[in-house]
Amino acid sequence: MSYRSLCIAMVILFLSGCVDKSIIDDINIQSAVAIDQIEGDPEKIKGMILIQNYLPDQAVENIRFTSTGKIRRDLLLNIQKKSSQPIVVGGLMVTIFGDKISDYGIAEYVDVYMRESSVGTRNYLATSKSSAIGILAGEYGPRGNATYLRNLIEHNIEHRDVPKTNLHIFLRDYYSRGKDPYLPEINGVSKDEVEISGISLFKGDKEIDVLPKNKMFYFKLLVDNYSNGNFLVTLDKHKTAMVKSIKSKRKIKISKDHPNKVTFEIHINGVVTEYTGGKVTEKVSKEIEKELEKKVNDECMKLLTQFQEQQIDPIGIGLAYKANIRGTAKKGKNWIGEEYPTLSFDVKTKIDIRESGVIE
Amino acid sequence: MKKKRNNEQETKEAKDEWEGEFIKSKDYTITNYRNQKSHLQFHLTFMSTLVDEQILQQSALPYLLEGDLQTIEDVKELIPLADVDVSNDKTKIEQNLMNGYVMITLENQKDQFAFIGSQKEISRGLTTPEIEFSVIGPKEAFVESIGQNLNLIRKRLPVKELIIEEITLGSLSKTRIAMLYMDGITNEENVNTVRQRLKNVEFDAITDSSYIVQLIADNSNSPFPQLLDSERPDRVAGTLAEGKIAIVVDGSPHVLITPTTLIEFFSSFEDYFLNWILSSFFRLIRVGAVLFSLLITPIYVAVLSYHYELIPIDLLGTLVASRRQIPLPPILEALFLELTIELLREAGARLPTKVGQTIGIVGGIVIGTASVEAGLTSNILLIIVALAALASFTTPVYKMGNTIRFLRFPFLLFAELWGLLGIVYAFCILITHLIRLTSLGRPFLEPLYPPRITDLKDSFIRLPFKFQSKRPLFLRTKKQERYNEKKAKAKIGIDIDE
Repeated sequence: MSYRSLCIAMVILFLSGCVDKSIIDDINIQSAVAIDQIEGDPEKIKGMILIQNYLPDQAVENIRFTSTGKIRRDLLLNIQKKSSQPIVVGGLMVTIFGDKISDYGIAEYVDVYMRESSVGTRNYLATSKSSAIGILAGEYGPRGNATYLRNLIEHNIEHRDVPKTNLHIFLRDYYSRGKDPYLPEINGVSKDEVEISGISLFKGDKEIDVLPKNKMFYFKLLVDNYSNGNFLVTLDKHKTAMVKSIKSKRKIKISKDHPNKVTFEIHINGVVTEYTGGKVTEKVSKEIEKELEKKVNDECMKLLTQFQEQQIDPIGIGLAYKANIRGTAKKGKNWIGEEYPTLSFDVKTKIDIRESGVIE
Repeated sequence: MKKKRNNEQETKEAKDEWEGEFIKSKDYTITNYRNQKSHLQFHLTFMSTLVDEQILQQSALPYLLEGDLQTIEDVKELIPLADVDVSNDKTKIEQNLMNGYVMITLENQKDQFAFIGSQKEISRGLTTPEIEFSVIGPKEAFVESIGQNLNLIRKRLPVKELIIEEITLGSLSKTRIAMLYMDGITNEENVNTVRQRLKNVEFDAITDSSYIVQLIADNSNSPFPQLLDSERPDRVAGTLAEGKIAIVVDGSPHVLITPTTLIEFFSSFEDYFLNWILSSFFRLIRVGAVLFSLLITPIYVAVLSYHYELIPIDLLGTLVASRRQIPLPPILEALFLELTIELLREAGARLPTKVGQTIGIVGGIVIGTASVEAGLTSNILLIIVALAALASFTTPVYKMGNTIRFLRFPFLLFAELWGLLGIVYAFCILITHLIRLTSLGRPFLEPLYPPRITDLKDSFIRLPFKFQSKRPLFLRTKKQERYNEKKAKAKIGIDIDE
């Protein structure tokens, strides 16, 4: 007994010296990373690491380190040589991939996050319209660039029309058979302004298209089970209504008898927030509902056929197919190439307008 | 003084008969008197420091002098006091004399003695409880006299089932110790265990009930108190009715209650005076406060030294900014503040009350702000440590509060050595220890382990009295029912109009 307790005490005391410490004020916590491809050399990358330096008066200073390298770790090694304190990766909020590199394929750069246990869901991945380093080089807001970009993506996911995305969702989509990943695309408008300019659609790990801003809401309706967003309906020349969706539900239905037909059932509860035609009567609201349903059906159909032509499946029809039809997931079966193009789609939208404002 | 005649010769003879040790003490007194009717000479032997002379002179001497005193048996009839005993057992002499009895010996019957109980009862008056103060409810607290303490309990349970057993312990202190239990309710085995453990106590001077706690506890190497001590007669009476055993020690204002569970140390008796919703809420707050007090500083040290990625992003800036100027690593910073708080507490406890207040202000405000301004500690840690100290003071039982404050230090050490893993490890050790701990052989962690769902009714929460019709399961009482549940249902008002 005493021998055993002595052993335990020795292990606890002496082995604790081997534990790697990272005291919070003696490390530089990476908060954002931007990776670009060097022009003309697909093997070499140029990266920028952003560190938020918290000043005593609660202000945040952006510290940037730039370097080149071959793989992501290589980049970090080169940057460590420039930093006064060890740079750690666990506090990462945003990773931005430049346009060239997302065309080339981002899987090998995401790989490092898969292996690093300290990087979690708080890390958002995004692509950029032009140079990724250019975005981090700007100055946005008093709370630091990384926090700004993270909040930009986060609030657009939670309250607006960017579909839910983070590292885990990206990896799941990338590795699962029957779904292709997508990421928000960020565009640096000027030195102190950025915007979400669309959704990058991937085939495998290569970006093949960008969905424009005005189609993002319909995309979110198809992809996410819950969405929140605004859309405009024009009834006639002078009557325009703005409808805010407060709750939406989507179902993918595949009948076993007609496995080639995929039906999307979308149910939206909305509120009229603006209407230029005066009082919203029962009749008007019915009209708005009808018009909206038509619009959603059309837009969603357009998206679905577009994806079908591009042979990508960001919505996860493959997953739904796998769940419903036996044998879809068989090995060696090229579902995307063989069966996906033959599918026909149907979108059934139901919109309930629950409220039309309090002005009577 | 009345007819007090000192006959030196006779005094010497009498003294020789009893142990010679007595004579060395100044308070050993022998007086000689002669009865007026039978002219029989008799001696009174007593310790003047223990005897109430008023009783002696008013209720004993006049009768002995004027009554018809022939044999020693007459003393019993003559003296109008209840505590009069006649014996020929010489071994009783020392003990009785030391307990404040007056010994009467007759000239013609030297082998027989009568003892009159005329103890001087010096005790302070009843005061309000100071440690277990409650705003609502009775304000009486135990005092240092066993007689008065027993009276306070008996008053609250005026039934014949309340049994008081007495035993004298301590080879020097001869402390009177009373064991109280409810006959027909309390588990026989528990009573026997307590009786046996008390009998086995070998110690010279027992001056307080805390001695008994340490002498009869199941595991004396545990930092956890295994017997609950209370200064509230209402709490003791309440727990006796539940089927527990109380131990009253003469000279101690704290009465011990056993067997207990860990949860009981976090329940204040005031919980029973408040509505069940409120008291459940307060209990949960107290349990939360204990966990907070135990873990928050270690977590701070662990997270800041090892797990920066766990810090919420919005908090990161605040934490880094507050630590930027601090030259000490988190562990030294935390130890510095924790020890400061402990020093303040110790100083506050040792100093007279009025000076103590000043120390509190000086320590709390001046040292705290000064060490932050000097850059020795971060202001966030100052808040955390102060809150943790505050939380540890919410435990209603003072001894448990001490335990909680002590346990923070091993946790801090493990947090520094192994980070969160170390805290988990320390917690495992703590839980293992608690699971193994027993109070009178009954599991200390009940109702959590072993799980007894019915006993949860009065643990983290306190359900209303209508759900409390059964006594706690772990006490294994002889009578499970506290009251008839069916009869208790009637809650009908009388219609005033009829």
